[in-house]
Amino acid sequence: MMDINDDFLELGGHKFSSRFILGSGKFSLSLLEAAIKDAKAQIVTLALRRVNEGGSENILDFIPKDITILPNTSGARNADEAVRIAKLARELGCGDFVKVECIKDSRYLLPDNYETIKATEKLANLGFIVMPYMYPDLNVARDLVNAGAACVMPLGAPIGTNKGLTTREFIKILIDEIDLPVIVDAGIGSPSQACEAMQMGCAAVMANTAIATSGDVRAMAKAFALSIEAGRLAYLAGLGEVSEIARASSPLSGFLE
Amino acid sequence: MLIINGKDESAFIGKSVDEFACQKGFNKEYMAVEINGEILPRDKFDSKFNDGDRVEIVCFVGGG
Repeated sequence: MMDINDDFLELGGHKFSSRFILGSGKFSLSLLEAAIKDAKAQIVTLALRRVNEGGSENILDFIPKDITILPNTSGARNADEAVRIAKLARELGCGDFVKVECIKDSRYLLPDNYETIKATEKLANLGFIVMPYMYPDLNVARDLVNAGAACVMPLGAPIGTNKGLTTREFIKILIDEIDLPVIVDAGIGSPSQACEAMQMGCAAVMANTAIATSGDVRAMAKAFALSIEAGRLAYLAGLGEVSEIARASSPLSGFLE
Repeated sequence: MLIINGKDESAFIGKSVDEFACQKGFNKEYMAVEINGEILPRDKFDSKFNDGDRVEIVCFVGGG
C-alpha cells in the first residue's frame, strides 16, 4: 500500500507534503495566519501592487516564515507585463516561484493562453519556477511543458465564481497526457469539488474565494485540507469499478433455512 | 517632473528612495522599486530621484 507520508508534490525541485495552495486575497489579515494553519497549506499566493501611503502593515508579517510564497502576475495583460511583475516580485526576496497570469478579458478573467506561453518561456529562461494559470487546452499545455513550466494550472471555472469543475473533461485530458503536475486553479467553490479534482488525479488544488468568503474561514480552510487529503488518498488507492447493474456485496449463498 | 506610482512627486527630485519611504511611512524592507523600467537593487535605495524619472514602488498584497 502507498504510504501517504512518502507522497510529495514536486515543483521545480522543491517537495511539498501539502497539496493545497491557498490564495490570500479577500482575507482580513488577522485571519490569514490561522487560515493557512488550518488549511495545512505550504504554498500561499500573493499579488503585487503599488504601495499605499500610510499602510504600515504588510501581509508578509501575517505569513509564517516556512511558507513558500507564490507571487502571481495578476494585472498583467500580456507576456511582457507578466515578466515585469515577476521580476519585481523576485526582487522582494521571496524566492523564484511565480504564478503566471496573463489576462486581457475583464468580465470572465479568462487567461490568454498565447501570452501565457510566451511569458512562461521568458520566465523559465530567467530561472523562475513557473506555474502558469491556463485555459485547459491540451495543445497549450504541451507548449507550456516545452516552454519550461513546472506545472500547469488549468481553471475549473472563472476566478471567484465558486462554480467548481466546469472544465472537468478537459482537465482530465491534461492529467492523462501531460507529464507535469496538473493543479486545478480558479473556480473551486467547495471541499467536495476539491476532493473530486484530487480523485481525478490532479496533483494539487488552489483555492481562495471559497475559503475567504465562507461563513467560517477557519472551518472552511480545514474542510478543504481534509477533502484534498481524502481525494488524494482515494486517487492513490484506486477507485473501484463503476457498473451499470447491481453487484451484491453480501454473499448470495448460505441463507438461513 | 517626477512621477511615483502615477502621481507627481516633484518635491522629491534630488531625494533618495530611502528618504521618500521614510517620509511616506513605507517599510522599505517590503518594497521593490523600478525606475524608468529598470529594477533598482535593494542596496541602491540611497540613489537620488532625477527630474523626469518614472518610478513604481510595489509591495505584496493579498491575491489568488
